[in-house]
Amino acid sequence: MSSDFGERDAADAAVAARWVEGDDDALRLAYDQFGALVLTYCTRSLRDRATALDCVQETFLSAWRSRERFDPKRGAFGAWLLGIARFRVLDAHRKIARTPLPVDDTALETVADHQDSAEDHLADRLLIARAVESLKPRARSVVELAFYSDLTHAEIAAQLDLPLGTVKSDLRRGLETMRHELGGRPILDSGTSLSTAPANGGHGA
Amino acid sequence: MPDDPTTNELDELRRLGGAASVEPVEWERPPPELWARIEKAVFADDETVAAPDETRTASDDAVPPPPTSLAAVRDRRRSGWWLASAAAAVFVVAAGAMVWLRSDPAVEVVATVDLEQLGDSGEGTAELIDDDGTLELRLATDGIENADGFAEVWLINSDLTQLVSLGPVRDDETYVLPSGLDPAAFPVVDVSHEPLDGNPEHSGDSVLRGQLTF
Repeated sequence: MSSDFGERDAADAAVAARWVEGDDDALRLAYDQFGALVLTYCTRSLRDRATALDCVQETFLSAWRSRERFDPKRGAFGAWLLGIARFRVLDAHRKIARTPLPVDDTALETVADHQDSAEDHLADRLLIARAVESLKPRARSVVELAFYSDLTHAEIAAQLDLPLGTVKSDLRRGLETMRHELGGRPILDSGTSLSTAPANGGHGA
Repeated sequence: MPDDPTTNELDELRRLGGAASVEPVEWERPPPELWARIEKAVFADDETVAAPDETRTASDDAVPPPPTSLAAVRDRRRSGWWLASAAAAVFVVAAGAMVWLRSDPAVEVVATVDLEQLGDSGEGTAELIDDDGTLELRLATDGIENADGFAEVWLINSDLTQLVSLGPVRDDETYVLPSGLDPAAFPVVDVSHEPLDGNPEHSGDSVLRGQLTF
């Protein structure tokens, strides 16, 4: 483990390794490490504490049932868990609205696209925040300055009084950490959605 | 220099920054009882997963002690053995068919997914095949309970609000997609349990689900 990675990265990797090995304690370890991430995701999305707690329970239960499906080569454990939580959240939204799956309702389409995009943005936002928090303080301040400014590498180096090479390597490692935490998913620009254009017909049974 | 890799890295970081929130995230702390609930649900789940073998052997004896060896397991499950073998054979044939498909140059595997179990039983794997311009879903399932109804295959959009039925689960495991349907707009493969009530809509009772990635 590189010295630029924080303790949380090491703990995340340890949980993923135990999970892959089929360790009996893996679920508890995963819950300790990622419970807050999943609960924050569910709470922000559902805006109801009780429903969010149900959703977290369902997410960890689903994850455990499908535990052999986690493939560390395809992404980080947190991103995999939020992928499962996303479906549980959408199921919960559907239950709350008491709407059975509509067969053809174009009015819902816009709302649904918005919702879909919001869920993806929320997941990205939380995973990025978690990845940034896991960086060591120096790397974190470099990455945060790059995030929210138009500064070049040299300007960041000057502002933080760091050697240019340090800034470049901090940014590269920070980027690698975030790419890993996001599980290789494309990052959504504001106003775009992972979901593709609405279907061109053929709805319903 | 636009092609400078470090400049591209800065661009990518700024996209990440744009997706991140400026405010630090206030993480929700799980309440102490949540783990107990999860543990209980997982334990109950393990019980129900273990149960079908016992019911299938239809033993009139009291609950047998836990098996201590593989031989003991085999003895207890012998009457259900051929069922498991038949199911395994179906999977081998299905897997063989998929290997054969890959060797045909006109057939392309577009996407594949292992389905997640949402109900109490069953498993499945789906592949989207482009057979010389015709899109087909190949869906191998095993162990789905169909008491008082049947299993139906659906393609659903990623927010679960629009869906297309591909019909009841078929023995040939092949489902031709309606022509003109964009599978990327309906990436979720869903298998539902449907009651025999004549209602063509999704029952809401999904037993397997997975999302194809393109």
